[in-house]
Amino acid sequence: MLRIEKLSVAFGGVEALAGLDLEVQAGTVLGLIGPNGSGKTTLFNVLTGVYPADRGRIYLGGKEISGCKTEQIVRLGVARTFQNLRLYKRMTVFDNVRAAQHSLPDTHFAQGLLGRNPQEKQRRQAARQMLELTGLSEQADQLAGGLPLPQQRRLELARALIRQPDLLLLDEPAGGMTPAETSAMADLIHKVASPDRTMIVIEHKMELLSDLCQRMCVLNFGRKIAEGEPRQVLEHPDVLEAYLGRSPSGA
Amino acid sequence: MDTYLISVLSNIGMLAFIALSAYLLLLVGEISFGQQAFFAISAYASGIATAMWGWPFWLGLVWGSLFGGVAAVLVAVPTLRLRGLYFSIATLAFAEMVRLLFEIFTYQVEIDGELVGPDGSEGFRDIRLIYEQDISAFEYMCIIYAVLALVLAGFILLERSRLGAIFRMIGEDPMLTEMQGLNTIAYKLLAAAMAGVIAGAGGALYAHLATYVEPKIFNVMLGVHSLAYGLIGGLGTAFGPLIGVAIDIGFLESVRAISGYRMIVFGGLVAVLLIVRPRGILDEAAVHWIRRRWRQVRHAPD
Amino acid sequence: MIGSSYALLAIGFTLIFGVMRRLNLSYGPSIMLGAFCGTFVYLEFQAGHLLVAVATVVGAVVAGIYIERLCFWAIRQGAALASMVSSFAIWMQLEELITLLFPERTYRFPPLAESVSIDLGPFFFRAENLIMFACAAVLMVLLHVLLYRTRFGLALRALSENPLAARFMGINVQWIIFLAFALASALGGVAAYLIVGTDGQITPMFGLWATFKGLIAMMLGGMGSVPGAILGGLLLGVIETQSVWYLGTEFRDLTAYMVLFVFLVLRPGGLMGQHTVRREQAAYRRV
Repeated sequence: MLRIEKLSVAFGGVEALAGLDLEVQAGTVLGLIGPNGSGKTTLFNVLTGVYPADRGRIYLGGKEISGCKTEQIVRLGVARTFQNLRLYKRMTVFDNVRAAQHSLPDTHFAQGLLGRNPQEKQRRQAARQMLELTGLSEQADQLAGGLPLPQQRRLELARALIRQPDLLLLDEPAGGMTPAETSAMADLIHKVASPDRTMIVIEHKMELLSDLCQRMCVLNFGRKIAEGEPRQVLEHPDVLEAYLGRSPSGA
Repeated sequence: MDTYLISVLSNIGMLAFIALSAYLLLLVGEISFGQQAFFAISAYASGIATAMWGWPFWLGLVWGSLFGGVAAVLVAVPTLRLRGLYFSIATLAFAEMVRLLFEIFTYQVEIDGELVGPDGSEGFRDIRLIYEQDISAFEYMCIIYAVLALVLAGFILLERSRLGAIFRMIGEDPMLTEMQGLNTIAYKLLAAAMAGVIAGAGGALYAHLATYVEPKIFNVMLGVHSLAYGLIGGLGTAFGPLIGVAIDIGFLESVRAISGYRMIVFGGLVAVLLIVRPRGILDEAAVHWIRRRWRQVRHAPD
Repeated sequence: MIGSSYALLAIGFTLIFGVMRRLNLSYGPSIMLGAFCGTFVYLEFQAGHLLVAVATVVGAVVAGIYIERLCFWAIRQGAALASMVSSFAIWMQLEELITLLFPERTYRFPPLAESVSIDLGPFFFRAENLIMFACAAVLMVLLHVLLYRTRFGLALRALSENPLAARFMGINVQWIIFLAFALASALGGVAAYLIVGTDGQITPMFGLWATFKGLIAMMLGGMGSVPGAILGGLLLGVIETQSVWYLGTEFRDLTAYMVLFVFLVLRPGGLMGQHTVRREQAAYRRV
């Protein structure tokens, strides 16, 4: 579903991604891990067109999207959340979820401008259901900026999901959460995984990823140092060294 | 109604147009110091239409407003891709260019043995259509407010519509909005066009009330004031800029006792207000609070 | 020659913008206040050149600090527009204050030098212009030393480059900003002294005029770059004199604005500020 060939991105003198090759099968969940600064978020940024790669190609569902603009890529069915949370803080929770619906094609364009659109009714309904799914119905009318962190993260997820994306990119969806909150988030993500949906999840918290992904990929300094089934990857010596600094036997 | 009050209210009405014009651009996150350029362009265009080409008033008004809108788009295309302050300074440069060009712009036609038309820095006199048709000051004020009401109705519709939501999204976080699949540049251009038309409407109305326009009026002070109105009154609703205009004019006119110190007091008040409420009195949070209270009141069990 | 005064004005603007990422619309009026202080001292006490200069600079700095505290320090990060509109409100305040205290249309200011012209080959200069140029040059050298050879200068440059990192390095950001404002105001005060001294008189229009010239010069040279400000000022001077020469005085300002507009559209970074533009773009994409 997603194929990445020799992707390279450099900022100034720093190589954020160095010749990365990666393939993700449709309907699977890939866990993307690695120490801080290993290029994970950079990969998401290039995938969503925030900036182009210096070298390499990206293929989404067989179609090349290298160098395309964000807005075009998203319309192909890609959605993401952000490591540092990006919400419309001055808008309500409900409007934040609705925000993602505004680019859906409108068959009633003129009416749409005036807000009297039968499609809009359906969309509002869908937005309300999404809030229920993510447990935010009570907060629908509150300003997003005032929510506590776990709810804000769930709101980001709701916003990403409402378009029913084929490719869902989650960047540390449990960042900053307590173990209990993380577990709740993990359940929620489990619920939304499906054979119609491909997911890449960046996380540091292995407990979230362990039951979730079929495959894992480890990045360090912009390169892939391991890939495969979670259990194998987590016991890989290179991976341990990247995280802990030296091999367990001492050297 | 006494003539003084009519004149004050008329001024408030006309300034409201340019305030709303700047406000619309602020909604999409752009700070424009130059909306007065479209005010000016439309004033001249509509004046030329009615005084020199013999067009009826309403046609001149529409013509001027559209002219303003087109001009706005032409300027916006090269400048909107500039980030933040660079765009703002570009608008300032453009507005000053327009003003200086009008200082040398001459186009005159002989009507009834007299030369009529813009004459560089002498300005453009004799835009007398209103007076020739015997429309009283009061009636003209009603015309101004009728057009203003139309524009406000448009804004109210905008706030409830998808387009309005998109504008605010772009204003708060353009990159996130791109991530929702929206072409932010196209929407910004649309906002610029709409803002140009609104400023244009104000300009045309002004030209016919004052019967005389000169380039000096359309200076940067007007432009920065128009931004200030929105920022003082609040960016949460189109009524914010209106309140800003009313406060400024009302304050200026009413506080006779300290007439010499008006700006000192007012300037200080504005500065303090902006410390406490950087997005104005009726900012988004305030509007949100008002809406919630309104809904609670409506649903309150009796 | 007048380009050097524009350069000084532009430097003040650019210093503030470099550290704060906001425009101080009150810069012109604040240094005008300083100039009026100088005039006051001159007229009331028949003070000599030095005292007038000092009064001008002190007045400008005091005004600058007032603006910094009220419009910039007090308003939180991210509300850049609020700061700019606030500085505009203070501009109105200062202008009114000045017209109240000094109701005449124009006041005499001690001229820099007697009206002597000096012949140097094919060019001839007026003494005042030479003095202004010389002072400006000296100031720029001093500024260069300050920026590149002192700890304060280092902190200032660090802050301009990357405010977040500077904070982490233990640089006291608020204090540096404060000092930068004071420095910009002081430079503006000197510029005001030189410019008004060349004219021999001061009017309340000076504030507006100074703001525009400084702004245009800064943009031509590149926002946030001191060498750019210098070049921008000189460039503006050249553009003005050339346009008066070829097109006539009515076209002077128009040409300046047109050049500015073209610059912005084609090369917003101006002559030397391309790095600022790139930095803004990078910040936009920081996710």
